[in-house]
Formats: sequence, structure tokens, C-alpha cells
Amino acid sequence: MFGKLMKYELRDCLRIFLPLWGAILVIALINGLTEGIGLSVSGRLMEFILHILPALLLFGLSFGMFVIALIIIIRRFYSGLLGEGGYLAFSLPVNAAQHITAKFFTSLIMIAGCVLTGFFATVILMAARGYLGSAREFLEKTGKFLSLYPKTGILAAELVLILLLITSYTVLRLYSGIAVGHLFNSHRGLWSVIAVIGIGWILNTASIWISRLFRFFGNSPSIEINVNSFLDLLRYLNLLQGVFGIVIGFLIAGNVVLWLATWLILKKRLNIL
Amino acid sequence: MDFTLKDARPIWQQLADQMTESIVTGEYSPGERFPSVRELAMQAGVNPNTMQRSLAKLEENGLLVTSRTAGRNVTEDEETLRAVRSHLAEKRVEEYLKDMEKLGYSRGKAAELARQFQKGQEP
Amino acid sequence: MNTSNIIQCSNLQRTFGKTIALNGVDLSVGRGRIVGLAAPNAAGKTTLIKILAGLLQPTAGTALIDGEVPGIYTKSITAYLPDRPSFPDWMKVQDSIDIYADFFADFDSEKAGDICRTLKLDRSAKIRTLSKGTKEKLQLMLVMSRKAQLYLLDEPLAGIDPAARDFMLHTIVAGYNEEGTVLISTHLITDVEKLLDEVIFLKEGTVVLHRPADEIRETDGKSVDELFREMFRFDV
Repeated sequence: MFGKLMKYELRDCLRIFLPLWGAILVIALINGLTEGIGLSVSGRLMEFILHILPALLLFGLSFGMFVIALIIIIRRFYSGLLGEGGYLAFSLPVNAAQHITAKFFTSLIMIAGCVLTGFFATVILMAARGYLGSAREFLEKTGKFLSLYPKTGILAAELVLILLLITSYTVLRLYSGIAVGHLFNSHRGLWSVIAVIGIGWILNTASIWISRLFRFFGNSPSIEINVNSFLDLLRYLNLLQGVFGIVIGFLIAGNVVLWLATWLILKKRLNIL
Repeated sequence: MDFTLKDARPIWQQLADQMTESIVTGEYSPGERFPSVRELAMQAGVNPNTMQRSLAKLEENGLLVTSRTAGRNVTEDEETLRAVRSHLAEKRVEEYLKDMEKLGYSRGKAAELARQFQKGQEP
Repeated sequence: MNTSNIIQCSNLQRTFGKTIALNGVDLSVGRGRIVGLAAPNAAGKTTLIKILAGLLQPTAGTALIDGEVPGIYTKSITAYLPDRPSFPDWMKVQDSIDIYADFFADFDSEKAGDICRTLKLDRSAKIRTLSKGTKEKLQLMLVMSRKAQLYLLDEPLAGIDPAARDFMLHTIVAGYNEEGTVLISTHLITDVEKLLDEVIFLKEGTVVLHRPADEIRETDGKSVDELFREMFRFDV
């Protein structure tokens, strides 16, 4: 059943995103081509049409893409699951956890798709402008650096993980806010907004207090950064890894708390109006 | 068959009456296969359980005969058909006389009026 | 589980803020019957059906379908017809059929096709283009194409013109699983009475009557509709 839910969620979202991603990549291509062509343009109008307009379009669409993603993620949960769509969703032989997870995974996949589209659009632009050669050089140098100092690679991976966790945290923050709003019988939209803001504030404050607690019990690392040599830099990296670890821990905890809160509300206090 | 519910009598009874009528008026010939419960229920737009009850009544009265091999058929027993037909006829006469009474005609006068009417029809 | 009562409610209560929709409903409904649910105002009926369908939780008391609290199992054996359209507008009729066929093992695609033909539903039409009455027909088609153990029909005739109502009732009688139970909530008792084995009256959040429909005619000498008007004379 969960697989079926995922199938329909993905299908419904891709209906909108695939054309959008395609359009962005095509416009990136056009951008790249017109740039690469390097026509000596006669007159302001042609210059506008060939160079400025595609660029504007590309930036506009790329920005719009993320805005659309946000809107869709919110809509599919607020009205698609807990609003009118709830009549269909909750008559299916599927439980709340499956619904939430399917929407959650799909949201992350869509965001990933947007990021990848942005990445490939950039690659296309760079390729068209002939920067690929230098890009390859850069990658080779990076590869050499990583093999020498693998720890930086791990740090980079952790950084990516942190970004991923922040993204999922944001999505779950929206979901849990909407779920809290669902507890009310009227003005649900308004309460949802308040809840989303409130939840962020609460978790923020909580993490500050928890970290203060640790500092109280453990030894407080007063960080003195004295980079006199390259070895000092490496020690600094170790510290950074520790910090990253803590941040990851907090983010995972936050994600779990928010998922549980959303799930509990939908499981125990469902009220499709 | 035309199934219309006219009054507050139990639905199964009204249906039974209407089906009885359709049999004795010849809509269904003796020995003819009678439609299934489901078919009749759908025709009438009623609950199959209700229709089942009506058909059971007709079987009780001998108008319908059910056999495992041949299903449900109208009876071929002329005697039963005749008896039911004449019973219905008597009921109608009784209704006529009652209605005429409301108009102020005594039963005798009402019967007389009927006779005159009949005579008037003859060439 | 295979209990004798498909629906079992004990002291079921539901409030919305200050409004009391259900105030201690005790109800047992057996299998293989068509039951009407009537009440003067909408609040109680729809609330009860939503709880049975699993869209709403009681504030107190229990509701059991085939002995279980509404959940995955009960939803797999319950066909729910809501009192409002439940499919996104951009979908086609065929899409809704595919979803039902995918999620419900008891869905009969062939039957769905037959009912579409009878009700003249264009399978390639976008739901957005359908009139309110046609959307109702769509939902009824989906629900009646399932061989469910319990059908919950919330006001299936609302928004249907009188000429088409017989059609709808015909679809219900022709389509439902005879071993299953149909619970129809409605205001239009006269139209529906011919279908009913039993009838339940809800008043001020409790069950005030639960009797066989033809027993009302036999014993009280009046139709269910007449009895309803009598009982709720001052409430409408």
C-alpha cells in the first residue's frame, strides 16, 4: 500500500515539475547557446531578446521553481491530506504514518529534483561558455586534495547531510504546523501559520537550553583558534567535525520530534471537516 | 409490471397485491416463468428482502410455484387462479358498494344502477 | 474478525467545541441489510458516518466496524460515499477508477464499466467539467463497484434531480453486495423507504428509534416518512 501511495504522490507532483524542470533546462540551453554564439548584436532590442531576456527567464523560473515547490508541498498536505482531499485520503486502507511518510519523501525528492535542475542548468551554462575545461581541472585538483586529506571529504559529506536534514526539518516543520492548525475547528490556515512559526521558535529555544545543559555538565570548550601551521588547521577541522556531529544530532532529534508530533495528531485527533 | 406505492400499508403487501393482479389479469400466463427476486426488486426499486417476502406470500397463496429444477413459475392450477380472480372481483364489488354508500346510494340502489348501466351499454 | 454486527457503537460521543453532535449513541447494525439513517439536522448523521468511515475520532465512547476500531482493516471492507466531492478536479473519471481499483482489493472494474454505461458517465471526462449531479453519480459508481461489507452512503441523493433519483436507487440495489450492509443517511425518506430493511432516527445526538421499516407500516399504520414528520414536528 505504501508503494502505491508513493506512486500516486510522485505522479501527481511530477506532472507539474517535470515540465518545469524541462523548461528550465531548455532555457538554460538557449541561454548558453545565445551566449556561445557571441553574435555581434546590432541594436538594443536584439541584445535584449538574445541575451537579457533568456537570462531573466532563467533566473525567474529557477526562483519560481523553489517557490512552486514550497507551495505544492504545503498544499498537498494542508488541503490534499487534511482538507478536502482528506475525504479520499482517509477512506483508503492506509494509516496516518504511511500518508505522512509518502508525502514527506515525495517532498524531499521534489526539492532534490529542483536542486539538481539548478545544478544541471548551471553546468549547461558553463559548458556553453566554455568553462567546462576549467571545471574539470578544478574537480581534478579537488579529487587530489581529498585523497590527501580524506577528513575534508568526510566534512563535506557531513555538510551535505546537514543541508539535507535542514531541508527535511523545514518540511516537517510545515507539516507539524499544519497538523497543529488541524486541531482547531475554524481558521485552520491562520493557526497553521502561527504554529509553524511557534514550532520553530520552541525547538530553537529547546536546543539552546539543551546545549546549555551539556555545557553545564561537560567541560565547556572555549575555542581558541590559533592557526599557526597547517597542522593547527587540521586540528581545527577535527573540532569542526565534532561541531557538525552535534548539529547533526540536534537536527535528527528535531526531525524525529516533528514527525512524531505530526503523526500523533493525525492518529489521535483526526477531524476532516 | 407497474410498481407504485399508494398508501401506508406495508410495502411487501402492496407489491404482493400488484403482482397478484398482474397474474390474474393475464400479464403472466399460467406456467410462465416468473422473474427472479433480484430482477423484480430492481424493477420495483425495492429492497430484495421486501420483494422476497411478497413472493413468499404469493407462493403461500398458491399463485407461484417454485421447484428446484424449474425455478419460480406461475401456477398452472386453473382452480387456484379462478379462486383468486373471483376473490379479487368480490373485493372490487365490495369497494364499489362502499363508495356508492358514501354518495348516499343504498347497496340495493347501487346494484340497480350497475344493472341499468350494463343494460344501457347493450345494443 | 467476523462478528455478527457489522456496526457496534457504545455511548458514542462527539463534540465540536461547544456543539454536541453525538450525545451517547448506542447502536448495533447487523449484516446483509439496508438501513436508513434519518435526522432533522445534518450534524448528527454525517458525524456518525464520518466516525464509522474513520475520518473523525469520537470524543468519548466507541465505534466498531466488524469488531475493530476504524483503521486500515475497516477501511478495506468499508465503501464510503461522502456528502461532497472527494476527487481533485484535474483528474479524469478513469483516474478515479484506477485509484479505487489499485487500493481496494474488492473493487470490480468490470462492474464499474457497466455502471458508467448505465449512468452515462464519460470515463475520459475531466472531473472539473462534471455537474454536481454527475459528480455524485461518479462517486456512487465507485462505491457500488466495490464488494464491500459495509457501504456508508452520506446523502447520496442530495443534489440529484428527482428524475435521476430512481436511477441512483436502482444503482444501489443492483450494485450492493448482498452479504454486506448499506447505511444510507438521507433527508429524502420517501424516496429511499422502499429500499430499507431498517430505519434509525437520530435526535439530539442519540438514537431514538431503530426498527424494521415494514414493521412501522404494519404496527403504526403509517409510512416511515409520516412517522418521521410526526416525531420531529417541531425540529425541522
